[in-house]
Amino acid sequence: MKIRKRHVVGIIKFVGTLIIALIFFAPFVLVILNSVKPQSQIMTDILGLPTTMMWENYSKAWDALNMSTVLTNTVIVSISSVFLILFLAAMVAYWMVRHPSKYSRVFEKLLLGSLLIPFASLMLPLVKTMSTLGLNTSLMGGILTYVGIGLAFATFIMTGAVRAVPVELEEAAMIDGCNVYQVFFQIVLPIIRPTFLTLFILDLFWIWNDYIVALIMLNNTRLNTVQLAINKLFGLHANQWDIALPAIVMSIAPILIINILLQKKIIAGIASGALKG
Amino acid sequence: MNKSFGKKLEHIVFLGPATLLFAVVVIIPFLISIYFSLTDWNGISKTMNFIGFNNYINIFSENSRFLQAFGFTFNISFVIVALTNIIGIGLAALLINKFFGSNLFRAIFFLPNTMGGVVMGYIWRFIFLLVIQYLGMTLNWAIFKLPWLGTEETAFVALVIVSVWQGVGYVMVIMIAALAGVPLELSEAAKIDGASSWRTFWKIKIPFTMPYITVCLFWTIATAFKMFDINVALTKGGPYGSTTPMALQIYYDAFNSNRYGFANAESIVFFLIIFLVTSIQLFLSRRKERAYE
Amino acid sequence: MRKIKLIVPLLSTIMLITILVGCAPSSNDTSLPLIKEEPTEQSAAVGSTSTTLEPVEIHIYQSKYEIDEALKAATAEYTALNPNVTFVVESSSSGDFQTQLKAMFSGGTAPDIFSTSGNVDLALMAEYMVDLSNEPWVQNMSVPALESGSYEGKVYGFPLAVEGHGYLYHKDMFEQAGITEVPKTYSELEIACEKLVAAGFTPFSGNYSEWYQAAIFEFNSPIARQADPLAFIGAMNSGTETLIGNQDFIDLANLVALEVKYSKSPMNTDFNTQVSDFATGQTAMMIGGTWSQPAMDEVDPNMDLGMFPIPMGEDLAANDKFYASSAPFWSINKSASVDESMKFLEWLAMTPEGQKNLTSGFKLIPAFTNIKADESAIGPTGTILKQYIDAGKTYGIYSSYYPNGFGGAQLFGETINKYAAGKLSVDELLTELQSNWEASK
Repeated sequence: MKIRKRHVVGIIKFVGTLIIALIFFAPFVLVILNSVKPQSQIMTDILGLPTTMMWENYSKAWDALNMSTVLTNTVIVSISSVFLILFLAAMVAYWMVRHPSKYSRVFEKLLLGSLLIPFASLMLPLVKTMSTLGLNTSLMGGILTYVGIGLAFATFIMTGAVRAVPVELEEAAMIDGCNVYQVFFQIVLPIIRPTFLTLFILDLFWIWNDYIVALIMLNNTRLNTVQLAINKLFGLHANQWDIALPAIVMSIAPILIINILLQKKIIAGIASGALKG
Repeated sequence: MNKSFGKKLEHIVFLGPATLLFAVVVIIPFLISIYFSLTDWNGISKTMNFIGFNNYINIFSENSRFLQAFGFTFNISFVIVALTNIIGIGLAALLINKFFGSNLFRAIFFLPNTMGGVVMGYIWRFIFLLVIQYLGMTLNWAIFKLPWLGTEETAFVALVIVSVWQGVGYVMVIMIAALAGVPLELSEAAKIDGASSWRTFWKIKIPFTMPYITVCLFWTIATAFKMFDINVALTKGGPYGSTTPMALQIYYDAFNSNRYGFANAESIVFFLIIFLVTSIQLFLSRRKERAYE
Repeated sequence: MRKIKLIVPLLSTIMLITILVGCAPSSNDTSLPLIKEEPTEQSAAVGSTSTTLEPVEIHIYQSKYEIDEALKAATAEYTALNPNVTFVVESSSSGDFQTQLKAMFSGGTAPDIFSTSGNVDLALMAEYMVDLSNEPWVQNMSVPALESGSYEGKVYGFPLAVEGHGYLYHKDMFEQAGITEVPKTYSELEIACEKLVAAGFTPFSGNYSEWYQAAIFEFNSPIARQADPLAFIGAMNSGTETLIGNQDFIDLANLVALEVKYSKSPMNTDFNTQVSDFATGQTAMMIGGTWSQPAMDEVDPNMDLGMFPIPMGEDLAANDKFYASSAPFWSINKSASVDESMKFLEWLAMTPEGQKNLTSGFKLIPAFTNIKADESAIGPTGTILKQYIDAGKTYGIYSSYYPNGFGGAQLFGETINKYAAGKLSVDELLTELQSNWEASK
């Protein structure tokens, strides 16, 4: 009797969750489903299966987005920014936790405060400072901007991770004659590797998805990123859903794939990151 | 001597590059923007005049669009924060125990959180303008026949739907981890005392996870107050400007109205508002955490 | 790119050194390289061709994306004639155009040739612009083009085209509904709408979810119908004139109400839906202009498309005019390759090959009196507009004179949308438009 009841509860729970999940997932399904339909069918039969598979929608969207250039730019910018963010944030976090000074405390406060600054107010001054360095409208300018802005959050999470590193290990290494650099690279970095992965993914998603920094730092056809190209495409071909929808699918495909491949790691990492921070 | 130099060098190596970058990208531009906020710069001219606190006074004048935007942002943030956290905690409670497909479900609920606002907005634009309209024609249900992006109320609801859809995954993931950390003895003890699982959840588990709820609240509040790209892609601030959040209003004033100085004053005020709201939230939650300890 | 290559080895050197050294007592850490943030010069030139003349790259940043491809073709043609001059053409839709242009000027990467809408824009940016008053093509500029392309007596803008708007309509639908003549007054328009409804058509593709059309097209109508629009705007700005109680603005309010009544879902329709609804034959009319022609041709090159002047009120003569002006303008950046940019504009306006690009390539009606439009390229909308222009039956478009540019326009548009949504009465609409104006000037 009791077992029965548990079963019933379990089934209700499963079905309930399934329904919510389907509603959650429906927008993606609809977009993907319609991305291979001819325009006329998109307009008249949105829920039906494609009558003809229009794979050429994708090649049209690929060309319209200028995807090969745009993809290269986005990959270069996001990967280099993320590596720099991680590396710098780890150094800062390590130093703040293990070698606190008056300066590092002030710096920490500034970093935290910067999380609340609206980007619109930084936009033009940022372009100005970057241009005095000769870096505006260049991939490098975009990368440095992402690093400067992403540093705060990453440091915040890294600090938690570094705190969890056993001090005894570091002290033992010091006694063995390691200097701080070696302690950092050989002891601390390997231990906080899981946090690295989490932040890597989070920051990668952020930069991949970012529109506003790209808009002002990479405002040049040669430097366009995926988000800029998508937005431009919606300005140009917006009533052509047979181009717009495959473009959307292509822009979210990398994220979908990473999600599928690293699903468990992402979720575990985010949870532990937030808890430590 | 050599030693103290080495020490200094260590400081520079570890904090120097980060400081330099942070200064170039955030601190210096922020200081410049404070200066701009005291001028009448239009965003492009080679000249600007220092006008003191006039911009700040104008923000609080009676026809201020910024105050309207603040009202909207405050209201929608309240709704979004409440719903995101409630639904997120609910999903966490549902998915804390493993069952068939629970991992897949977690991934699905988290998926929208990994997507960007612009693309998200366009996906939902497709849903609201084409799919819903199609459903309205075929099913003839009143709810699908509403002009979803066309009235103040429905556009507000549409933005809430998209924001909550995007945010619950984050809350869920954190709360699953938090709930998993509740010692088994605690909830078992409560059960033996005859408490219902509902009561156990509220009286034992939630208080125990308070620090994590603090994190969720902080994140959802900051995100909601800074909302920008969802509005740009979904409603463009419409209908008739009623869904313009503060960040978008600042953007419009800076780039459409050629009032860059004024927009910077707005953004300083905006910064202070977020600072104030999140400080209050942290203060209240910390007090609550302590009360439970 | 070069910068990345610089930093990555730096970082990896730090890592390598510390790892290779291993855990040994520290001695010479001082030799560790610091990460240096030094600017490297940008290599701007791309596609530099080896010619004897000094290579020049002209960066065109323009807001008329319909001509993007045709413009690229035109520049390629010019490069073939002048191998030392290459172009980078960028076209951006109106939304981000302003932001990016400002960022470009802020960052010192301003384009050589860029779009402006004239008037207020010129006043804003005149300090960056080359005075074009002595260019040979200026003498051929039509009077309205000259008017809005100048600031303080100097010409700063190269007029790309004359554009005009009215109501686009499907001739076949009108026929099927038994409408033999296009409506010439407000009441005739209302009757036409009834006939269309009776024949099973949705009369209008109204778009009141975005501020742009309401501000740029609709709010312009009553202003353009004042006896002296510029004087009216001046008086509005100085506070001696009010639009409250003005009959033309009341007429506009009625027209908006009519459009809303006969549209499918005007508050939920954005520009794209509006255009595709009309183009695919789901609606009979929409506000639109010569620039809509390419989009219509793309859907159906044989569309039976017509355009008629927007009727407001009952005055036949006053209603028989299109709204037209020359826009956008191209201006040359002072710190650019001025000579080469000027030569390119001169080529467009003064040589047969260049002119052919303006007319047949861009498919626009030229704003120069000496250049004849290509009727097969500009399509039915362009052709009828041209007839009206030649007969002198046009009103001006004054959106570029609105107080505070796009800022003011956005306020007007949103207020009209609010009225369209039924949140304001006619009186409240006019009062609020008036206060919008006062807040923007």
